[in-house]
Amino acid sequence: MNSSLQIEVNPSDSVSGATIMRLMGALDSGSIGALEKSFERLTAENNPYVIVDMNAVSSCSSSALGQLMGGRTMLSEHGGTLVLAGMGFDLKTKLNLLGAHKIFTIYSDLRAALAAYHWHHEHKPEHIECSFPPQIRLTPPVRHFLGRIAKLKGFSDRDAFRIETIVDEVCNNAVEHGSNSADHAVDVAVSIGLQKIEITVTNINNPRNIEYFKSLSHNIFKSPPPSGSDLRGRGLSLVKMLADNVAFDFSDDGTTVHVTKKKREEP
Amino acid sequence: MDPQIELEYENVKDRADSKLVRFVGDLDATNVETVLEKICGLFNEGFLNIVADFTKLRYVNSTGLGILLHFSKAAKEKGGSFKISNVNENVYEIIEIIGASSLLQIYDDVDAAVASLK
Repeated sequence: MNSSLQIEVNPSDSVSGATIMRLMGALDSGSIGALEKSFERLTAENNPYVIVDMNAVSSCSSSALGQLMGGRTMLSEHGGTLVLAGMGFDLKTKLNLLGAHKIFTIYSDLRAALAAYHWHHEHKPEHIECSFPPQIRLTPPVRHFLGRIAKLKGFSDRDAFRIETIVDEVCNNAVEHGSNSADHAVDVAVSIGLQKIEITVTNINNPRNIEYFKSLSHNIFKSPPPSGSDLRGRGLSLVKMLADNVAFDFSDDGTTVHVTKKKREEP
Repeated sequence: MDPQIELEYENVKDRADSKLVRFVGDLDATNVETVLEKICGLFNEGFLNIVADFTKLRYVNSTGLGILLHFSKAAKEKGGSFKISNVNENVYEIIEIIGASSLLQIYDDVDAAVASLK
């Protein structure tokens, strides 16, 4: 039976060890032979991670899905992994009705599948960057977002809460003491790995608070937290106690707080 | 933006001078002023004792903790008390780390806090 399916197999340009199998056209019973040959070759070559890019697949029959499952099994028996990526909504809905989501790991796109390989197989950290205008009302969504990401990346509920607190306190400090010009965004850069998260928050200094920022590097990280009922001044002390390392970089223009928090095993 | 915290009020049985306040949500820098106003309003209305129920308080940061300490001090100055109950583990850790657990009156539950009222 003839098939309209085209198959391209190439190593990823950006991620060593990942192979991209791009399928184009209709996946039907006529495609099975070509798919099988491709999987046999990929298995023989000991490819550790194969991403089946379904972005250009117009339809998929149950028999072709069965062949993809067979390919997955073949690769996994040789220590490899096969994932699906880039399916359109209709195709994904249909395949999920056939139970594909119970068998395959499915990523929204190729980039997500490659990032997952970085994470799971190479243990490389993932990076997130965001900027927001220096307004205190904008720190809750930032802290919620990063706390949620930490939880999704395997940090415990308690650690995710600590990370949320760290982000909140450092961002609040940047907003409160940094420039309040709408053009001077607070920049948050996060590197999250299997065992630790690194959070870097940078603000443009408010010239009126230069002495405050200068004093941070000399005083706050060496002094105990304030006691009694003082309403302010505990934030960075709290960060210091929740984090494993806090570093501080000051210039006349801007201030950067860099926090490292390791994953803690909860009892 | 919706407020991230709500305060729910309830009378304390046989204690006209006391009020139970349930904190719902996150207590942080975006809403401390509002909470400060509302709780101080209760003190000004003549309630000497405030029992805070934190069952539904998910989050508190250092600024939020600052006003809790302020409530404690303000209540004492008026001859009353500010008592906290049902603190979740995450929030309690923040209170403890910052050294405020000895400065605040913390109880396991509302009943224990109410029973301790003088």
